[in-house]
Amino acid sequence: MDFIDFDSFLDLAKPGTTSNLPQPQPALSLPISSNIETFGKRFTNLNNLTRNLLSLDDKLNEPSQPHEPVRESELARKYAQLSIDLLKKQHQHQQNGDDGTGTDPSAVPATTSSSATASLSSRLSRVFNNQLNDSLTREIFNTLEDKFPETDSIKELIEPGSTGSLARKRLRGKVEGELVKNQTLVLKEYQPVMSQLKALEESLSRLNQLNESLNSKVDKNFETSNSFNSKIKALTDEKKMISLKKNLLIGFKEKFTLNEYEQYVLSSGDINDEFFQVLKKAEQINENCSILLAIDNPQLGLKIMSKINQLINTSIDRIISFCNKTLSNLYSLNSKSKLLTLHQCLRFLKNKLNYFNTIMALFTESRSKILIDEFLSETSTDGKKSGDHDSYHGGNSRPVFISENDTVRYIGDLLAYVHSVVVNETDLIASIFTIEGLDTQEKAEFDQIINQIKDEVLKSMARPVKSRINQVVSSETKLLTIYSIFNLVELYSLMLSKQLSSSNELLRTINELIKSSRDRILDVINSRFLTIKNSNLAVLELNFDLQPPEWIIEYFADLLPILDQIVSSSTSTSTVLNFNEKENKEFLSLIIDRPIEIFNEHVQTNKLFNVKQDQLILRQNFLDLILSKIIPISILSDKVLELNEQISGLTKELTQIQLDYLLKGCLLYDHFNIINMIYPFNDEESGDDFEPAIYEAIKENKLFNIQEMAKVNVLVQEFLPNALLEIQRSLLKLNSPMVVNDIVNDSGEEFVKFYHKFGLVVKNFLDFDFTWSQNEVSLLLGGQNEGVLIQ
Amino acid sequence: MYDTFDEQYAATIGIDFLLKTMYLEDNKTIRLQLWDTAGQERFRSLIPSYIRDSHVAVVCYDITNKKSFNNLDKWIKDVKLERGDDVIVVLVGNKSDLGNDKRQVTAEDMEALQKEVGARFAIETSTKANHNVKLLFKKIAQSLPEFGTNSDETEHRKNKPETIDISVDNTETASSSCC
Repeated sequence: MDFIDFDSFLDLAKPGTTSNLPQPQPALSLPISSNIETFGKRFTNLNNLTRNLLSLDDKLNEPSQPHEPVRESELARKYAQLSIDLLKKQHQHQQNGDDGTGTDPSAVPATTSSSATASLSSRLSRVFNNQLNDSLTREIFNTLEDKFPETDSIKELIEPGSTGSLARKRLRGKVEGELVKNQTLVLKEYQPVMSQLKALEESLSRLNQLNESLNSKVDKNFETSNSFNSKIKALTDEKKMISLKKNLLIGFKEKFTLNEYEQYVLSSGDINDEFFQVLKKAEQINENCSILLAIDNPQLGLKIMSKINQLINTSIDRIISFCNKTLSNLYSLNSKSKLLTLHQCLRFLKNKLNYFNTIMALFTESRSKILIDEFLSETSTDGKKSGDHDSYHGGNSRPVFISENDTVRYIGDLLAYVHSVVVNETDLIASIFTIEGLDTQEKAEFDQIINQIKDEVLKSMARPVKSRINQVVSSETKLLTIYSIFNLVELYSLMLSKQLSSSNELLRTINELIKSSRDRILDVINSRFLTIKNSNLAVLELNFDLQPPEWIIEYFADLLPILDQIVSSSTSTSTVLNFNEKENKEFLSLIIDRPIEIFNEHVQTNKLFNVKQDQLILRQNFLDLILSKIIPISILSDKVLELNEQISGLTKELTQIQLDYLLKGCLLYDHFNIINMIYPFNDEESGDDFEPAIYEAIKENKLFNIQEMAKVNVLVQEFLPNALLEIQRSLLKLNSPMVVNDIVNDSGEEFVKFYHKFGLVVKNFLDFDFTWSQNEVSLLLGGQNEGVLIQ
Repeated sequence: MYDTFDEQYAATIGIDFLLKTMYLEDNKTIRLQLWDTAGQERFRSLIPSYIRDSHVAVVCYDITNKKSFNNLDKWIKDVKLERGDDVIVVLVGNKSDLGNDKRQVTAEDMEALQKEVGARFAIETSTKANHNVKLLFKKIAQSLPEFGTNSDETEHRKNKPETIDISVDNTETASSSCC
C-alpha cells in the first residue's frame, strides 16, 4: 500500500509557487468501475491471495532459508539508494547555485517540489483515478471517521510537520493495523478451508495416483483388449458373412431346388393338388434360373435348369399319360376326384399347346374311331353288333337295317342315330371339358375347345353318313321317296343346327345331303323327261283318239303328292324345296313347261297328225290335263296363268279353223279375205255405225258380182243347216267341253258378224239381199249371243 | 324336369332332347336322356326311329281330354311294334291341377289301361304345379334294370353307368311345355 508523503505538499502550499500539480479530474470524468469489475478486482486480489498461498506452500515445501531478512535488507537498501540519489541531486543543485550560475536558491525547493509534485501527482492520480466512486470514497472516509473519531487527530493528520507526519504514520499504522487485522480475519476465514484443502490434498493426490494407475491399467487393458476386439470383430464379420451365406443358401434352396419329397411327388407321386403345386414350383424355379444364366458363370443355372426340366418333362409325361388313360376310359370319369384331376391336368397343359393338342388329337381320334365303328356296326347290313363297351346303346339296340320297301325309314333311323350320337357326344365332351371356377377368358377358351373337339369328333361321322344316305338317295328313283328323304334330311339339319355350329362338318354334310337329295329329285325328273323324250313308244302312243299320253298321267301321279306335301308343309317360303327365286322358277319350268315341250316335239314329229286341227286338239287336251292337275296347287298359280294363255291361243286357232270351215263351205272365204284386206271388220262397230261405202274397192274384184252372190246365197242355205253338227263332230275329241263350246260359239259369232256386214256391202254395191237374215244364220250356228241376234 | 314351367307354349319341332341327371338314394347316379317327340302329324314318322333305341316310353295324356287318353292305345302299339315287350311303358296323366273342375279321365280309367297294356306304373302329374314330376323321373330311374330291383341279370355291369334313352310321347294336343 502506497501513501503520499504529506511533505511533498508543503512547498506547494506556499504562496507564490506556481502550482503545476495536476488538477483532480472531475468526478464524472473518472472511470467508474462497476461493482462487478470491483468484484473482479477483488476476485483478482483473491486470486493473488490464492497464488500467494500456493507460493507459500511451495515455499513451505522448500527448505527453510533466511529469505525474508534478505528481502527486507534489499528493500531498505533500495530506499536508502533512492534517498542517497536524491541527496546527491540536491547537493549538485546547490553547488551549481553557489558557483554563480545565478541559480535561484529556490531551485532546490523547486526541484524538491517538482519531485514531490511528481510523486504526489502519481499518488493523487492513483487516489483520484482510483476506481472508487464518490460514494465509496465517502464511505471510506466515513469508516475512517468512525474508526478514528478524534477530531484532533484529523487536524494533526493534516499538519505539515512532524506531528502531522507522526499522526499520519500513526493513522497509517492504525489503518494498517486495522487492515492487517481485517485481513487476518479474512485469512482466518480461509484457514478452515485451507486446512480442509490440505486434508483433501492427500486424498486428491491419492485419487490422482489411483486415477493414474487406473488410466495406466485401462491403457494397458485397452491395448490387450484391442487385439481381442479386432479378433471378435473379425469373427463377428465372419459370422455375419456366414449367416448371410446361410440365408442366401436357404433362399437359393427355396428358390432353385426341390427337396427329395417334392422330386418324388413329381416323379412318382399321385397326380393331385400337391403334385400341381410342386410342378408349379418347379416351373417357377425354371423361370428363376434365367437370373442364374445371366451371371458370369451360367453353369449352375444350366445344371439346375437341366435337372428341373427333366423333372418337369417327367411330370408332363405323367400328366399326358394320365389324361390319355382317363380319356380313353370314360367310365373312370364317373369319379368326381378323377374328373377334377383331369381338369387340373387340362388347365396345366392349356399353356403347353403342343402337348394339349396332342392329347386332344388322341382323344378326338379315339372318339372318332369309336363313333365310326359304332356307326358301321349299327348300319352294317349283316346286322353284326359292336361289342365295344363305349357303345351308347350298350349293345341293346337293334341295328339300322335297310329295307327296300322303306328306304325313308332307313334314312330316318340313320339320322335318328346320328342325332342321338350328336347329343351324346355333345353332352359327353361338355361334361369332360367344362371346368368349374374358370375366369371369363379361360371359360371362353375352353368353350371354344369344346366346340373344336365336338366338331372334330363328329366330323368323322360326316363321310359315312354322307356315303350311306347318298347311296340310298342315288339308288332311289321314286320321286316321293326322294322327296321324303329330302324332307327328313332337312328336318334333321334343323334339329342338328341346335347342337352344332354352322361350321360343323357333319352339319355341312347334312346340308349337302339336302342339296344332293334335291338334286336327285331334279335328276330323276330330268332323266324321266329324257327317257320320255327319246321314247318312240311315247311318240307312238299318240294316236287319233287325240288323248294325252299315259306318261304325263303317270308323271303327275308321281309329282302331285310331292306338290301336295310342299303346299301343306310350306310355311313362310313361297318357293319349293327351299330353292331361291331363280332356281324355283327353273324348277317350275322343268316340271310344267318341259313336259309340254316334249309333248309338242312328239306331236310335231308324229306324222299321223297332218291335220292341224288334230294337232291343236291333241295339244289342247294335253294342256287341259296339266291344267286340271295343277289348278289346286297354289305355288303353281303362275303356271296356271301361263297354261290358260296357251290354251286360249290354241282355242283361237281352233276357232279360226272352224270359221274358215264355215266360210269355205259358203264360198265366202275369198270375200272374207278381200274385205279384211280392204279394211278389217271392227268388233266395236255396230250395225248402225257400219259404213259399207268404205268397201267400194271390192267392186273391182271379179268375184264380186250378183251371180256369185246368188251362188253364195244358195250355198249358205245348203251348208249351214249341217255345219254346226259338222263342227261339233270335228271337236268331239277335244276333252274340254268349255273349250268346245267356246270354239263353236266364237266361230259362229265371227261368221254371223261377217255374214251380216258382208250382206250390207253386197246390198250397197250390188243391191242384192241374202235370203237368210243374220238372226237366222246365227240360229243355225247355235248362236246364243243375243247381241248378235239383235244385230 | 328343370323345375320350371313355361307359360308360353312352344311347339316341339321334330325331336327335342333333354338331359337329366338323377341322384338316387343309394348314391347311384343315373343320367336320363329324354327324347321329346313332337305332336304334329308331319313329325310322327320320326318317332319310331327314336323308340327303336329307347328303354322307357313315357306316354302322356291330358286328364281333361278324353280323346288324348283314347289315343294312348295307338301310341303304346307303336312302342310295342318297335320294341316288343323289351320296353318299360309308363302312363302319365298330366294337368292334374285341373282335375277337380275339368277331369274327363278318372284314376280308375288309368289303372284299367295300365293293367291292360302292362304299363310299369301310372301316375298323374301337373307340370304347371310341379306336382309328381320329380317322383315320375325318380320312379322311372328306379324302374330301369340296372338301377332298380331287377338288377340280377346285369350284375357284371353294376358299376357301369349307361346313358338311357327315354322317348317321351306327348299326346297332349294343347299342353304347355314343361320341365
